[in-house]
Amino acid sequence: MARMIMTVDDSTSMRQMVKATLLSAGYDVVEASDGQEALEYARENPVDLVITDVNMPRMDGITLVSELRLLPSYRLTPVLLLTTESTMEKKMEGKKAGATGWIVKPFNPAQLLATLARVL
Amino acid sequence: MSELGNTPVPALLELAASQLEVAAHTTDAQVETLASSIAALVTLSVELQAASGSGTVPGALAHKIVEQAQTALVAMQFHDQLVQRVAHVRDALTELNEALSGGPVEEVDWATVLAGIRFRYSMEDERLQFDRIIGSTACPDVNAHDNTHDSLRGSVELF
Repeated sequence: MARMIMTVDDSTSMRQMVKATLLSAGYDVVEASDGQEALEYARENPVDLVITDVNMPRMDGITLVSELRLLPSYRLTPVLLLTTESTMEKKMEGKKAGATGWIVKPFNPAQLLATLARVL
Repeated sequence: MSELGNTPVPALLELAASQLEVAAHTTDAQVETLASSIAALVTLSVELQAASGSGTVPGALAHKIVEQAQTALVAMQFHDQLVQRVAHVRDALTELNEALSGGPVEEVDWATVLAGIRFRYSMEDERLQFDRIIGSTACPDVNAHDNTHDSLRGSVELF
């Protein structure tokens, strides 16, 4: 059974890019357009890994990480932040919230898949 | 009332921010179509590569198509970055407008305003450009922050 990855981004085109990369490697993919939608999905469904943007309406990616870590089933689930943000203070916010890693856009498909293989 | 309150400067700043907003989003529909096509191309190229084992498609050709599809996928992400950059400029203009509209221009706390605007530029190259143009002493508090560990585009860091 394929691993399920959730991709969270308010940009439809970015979700399509991530989804195409993941599908090409045999993963199953579920999409959410912001942190709130992702959290609502996560409360009812398990996923094996979350890839989330940082800046999104309703709920940003760092808040999403914090909220996911409060769910017992997501305490140890790898969560990668995929973002244009590249400053140290933002990265530290992500780390403090409980993120597993930080990837700066634009992502390279091969590099993204290699990172997934390391954390899954 | 600020000295600038009787000039078109605040309105011009608001107009510039609004125009940037429109510029960033007028291409959304076309970009989504393009992204969808590239995503399909990636999927098809991987299927093609898998089929190359049957001998009907040369393996080297299939590999080249996969490479090109992945290159297009990376390039396609330009739009997301463009939207982010425009949003940062829009927010900076809004902050400047608020500062100029809040009282006499000689009472504006420029160090605080500049620190706030710099904070909004959250990409490494945006901040380098800010420091180059505005100057490294413009907001001493934030420049005390060590930028040497900021991340480069495409970098991966596991915590």
